[in-house]
Amino acid sequence: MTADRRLLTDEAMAWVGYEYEDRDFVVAEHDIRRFVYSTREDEGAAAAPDTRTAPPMFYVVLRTLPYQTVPLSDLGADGVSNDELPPMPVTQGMAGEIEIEFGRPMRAGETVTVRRKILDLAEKSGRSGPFVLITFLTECSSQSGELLVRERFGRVLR
Amino acid sequence: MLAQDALEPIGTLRRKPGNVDLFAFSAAIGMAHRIHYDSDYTRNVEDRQDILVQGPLQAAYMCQLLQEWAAGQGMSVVIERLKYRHRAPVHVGTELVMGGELTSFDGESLRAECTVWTKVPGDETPRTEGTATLSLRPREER
Repeated sequence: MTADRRLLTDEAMAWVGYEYEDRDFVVAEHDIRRFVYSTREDEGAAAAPDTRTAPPMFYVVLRTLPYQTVPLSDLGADGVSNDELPPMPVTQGMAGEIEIEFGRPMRAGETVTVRRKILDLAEKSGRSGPFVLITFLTECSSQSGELLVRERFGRVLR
Repeated sequence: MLAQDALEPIGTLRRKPGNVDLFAFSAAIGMAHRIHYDSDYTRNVEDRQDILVQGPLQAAYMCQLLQEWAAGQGMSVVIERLKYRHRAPVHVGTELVMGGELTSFDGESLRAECTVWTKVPGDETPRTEGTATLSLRPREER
């Protein structure tokens, strides 16, 4: 019938193409400031960072925070929310390959709409045994429809 | 029209993310993933050496490298595209050297392609590596 898969059932595979509900994120200056300081961008030799204009990787806040801000009892044993994910017998996750296209920087005070979907699910064999590669597409758009970030993000689960 | 050899090589940026860096970054992105703050869990349950430096934190350092490089030549840079993958984990307290190399440059449009990486001093194999497409512009222009 299907290929020899141990981690991905047909029920899990049906999640390919799944679209999450759109989320609106109001970018606050303190979100930008926390990000800028936590990455030590203020320690660079370049001009003092403008905390009203977000650096490129700031979009990770929008790609993570809304999906991980859940009741603590909904977090897995590893502290990650497994909400709205295909059913898989996996307990550990790590980042795979990431490809990002950037539009103009995000600005403090603006509302950004985050859209995410599951692009692909695949089971692979590695040195430590089988693992799942789940690929997400996330797009962040301004209220006037400008595409600010498009990210293809692969996550390895075992 | 700017010639590629008028540009300085990309150079390096150094960071040594410790426990506070990892916590502050997880807090900034709203993530409670224990492998970035809970060393008992990370060692005993996930069988790793120590807590890990987040991938996007390394990516942020790589972006800073490119911004520092441009600023050092009186220019600013827009990163149009970034693609990267992790080849090996980076444990907390590791000294990281971010570097990169220009692979192409268009002197008319001032667009460039480069490689970027994070390495640990003494180890030639990158922990994280990728490529970027950049647009350079004179400093005054935003």
